[in-house]
Amino acid sequence: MPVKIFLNEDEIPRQWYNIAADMPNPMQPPLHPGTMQPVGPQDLAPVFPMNLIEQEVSQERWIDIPDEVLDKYLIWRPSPLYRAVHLEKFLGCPVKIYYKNEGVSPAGSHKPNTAIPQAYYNKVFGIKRIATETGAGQWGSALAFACNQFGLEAKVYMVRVSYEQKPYRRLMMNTWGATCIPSPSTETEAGRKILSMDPNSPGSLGIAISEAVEDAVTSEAMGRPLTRYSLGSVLNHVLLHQTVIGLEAQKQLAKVGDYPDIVIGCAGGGSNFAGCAFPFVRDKIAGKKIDIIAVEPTSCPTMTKGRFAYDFGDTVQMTPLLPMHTLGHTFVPEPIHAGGLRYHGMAPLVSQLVMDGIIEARAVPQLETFNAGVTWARSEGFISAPETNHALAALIQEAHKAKEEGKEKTILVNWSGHGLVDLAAYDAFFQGKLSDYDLPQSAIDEALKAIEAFPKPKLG
Amino acid sequence: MKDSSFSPPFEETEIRCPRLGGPVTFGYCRIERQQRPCQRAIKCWSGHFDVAAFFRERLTPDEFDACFLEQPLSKVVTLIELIEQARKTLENKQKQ
Repeated sequence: MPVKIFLNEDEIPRQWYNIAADMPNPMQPPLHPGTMQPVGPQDLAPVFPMNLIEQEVSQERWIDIPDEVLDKYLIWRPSPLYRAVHLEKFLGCPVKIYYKNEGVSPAGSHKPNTAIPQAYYNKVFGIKRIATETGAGQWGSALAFACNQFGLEAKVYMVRVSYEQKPYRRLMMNTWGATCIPSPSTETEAGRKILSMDPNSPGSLGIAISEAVEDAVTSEAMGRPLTRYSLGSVLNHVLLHQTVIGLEAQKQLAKVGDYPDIVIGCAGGGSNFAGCAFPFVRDKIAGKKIDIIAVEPTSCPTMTKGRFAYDFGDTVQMTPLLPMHTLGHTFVPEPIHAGGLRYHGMAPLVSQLVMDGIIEARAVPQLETFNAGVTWARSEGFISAPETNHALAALIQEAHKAKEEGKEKTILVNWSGHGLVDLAAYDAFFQGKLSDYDLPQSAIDEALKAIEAFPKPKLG
Repeated sequence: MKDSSFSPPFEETEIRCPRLGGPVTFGYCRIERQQRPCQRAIKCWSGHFDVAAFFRERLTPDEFDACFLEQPLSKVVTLIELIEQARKTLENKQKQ
């Protein structure tokens, strides 16, 4: 049984998979806030080159990967598929666990899978410089690497609170030749406006995006090299580029004659999850029986301490009674906890597939994710990015579930990145600075009084 | 905004922000959207204190709903709004 399953360089996928061609319920185009007409390519032209906009709206199932992009992918792709034999042994559950190691990229995560094609498409369109925003620097460092590969300038507006806390990814950006400045900055009107109101503003992703977009839109008029904006998640073309992960995984699994019962990925904006999962979603739409799980963070005890009952979906009791895990509609608005993937900037394609019941959204609390990450590091050896630990927590849940059910399962998880630049988070965990709220039973009982009179759904 | 006598752990507790990918305090989350709370603030902090009660004390019901229950704009729509803002900025600069 091989621990690592490789593809030869000539076996790398030569096309990306566009799930828009196979969506059971086609996505409706967003409406322009000014005209209320569907957003068209020209609306996005000030910030994206037209070749990427064409991908954003494409309905073609397969889109060729340009040779120049493949050449750069070969720096680290095809990425290895591992069999997690040591974790399997540790868990003692009837599961085969495979993981796609996306931590082998120069930036240490899956993000260069889209940064490289975005830099390439900008370059061939005549763009000289790319502006972007970044939080703790995962996306900024990936784009800095990609721009360096194609000889483009990169300008990264990094949220000030992260800029001051986290020097390492900033230094990675600098090493690859990018300019990284704290946002809000004095270089844009958006930044200056915020600083005039609050000179000590810690910044936010919203402010940083405003600065990067303004930088791109005003570049020519302000005498800067022709600039466009780049986004590392959420958008259709970003998810498209990431599908190289799942397409490789399918080929690698085929080499050992295997296929997953379950595919798991962590879901922030949705790009790493979609990259691994969408080729398998295609199989599921075609009739394959497979569970696909997107994992997000929570600190809410609803799923573990709530009662499965009928409840209103809202505090004003306007919705029909819905069967749900609940602490009662008076506790915390249900939409904040249920279907959370729809409420914080998740990719619309992923959200739609959750709504369609093709993907399961699952939330895991903080401590469980770090415990999973430590278990992983002490069995498989690799130290995971904290985001990746969410997927590992769900993986361990599924392994135990297989044991309880007495069923053999094959699980594929996307190991989206290493955590070697995130060790401060592990330090906080080891020092006991992280916690999950232990909601007192009295508070739960009080909240549940509100739904005592409602009918009870049948279980099982 | 209403007054609040409730005192959450503003600066002494850090959690990992799933959007930034790094540690933040509640003091950051409660003003993340230009003095308005981050849409995820309740989801992220309910594991530490009764954050929903804190915001219900400080916000009117309409403000609370707008902060936490309204669907955020899609990324594409947000970008188009920012493009328009940037264009206006440029027009104003060119007039000066």
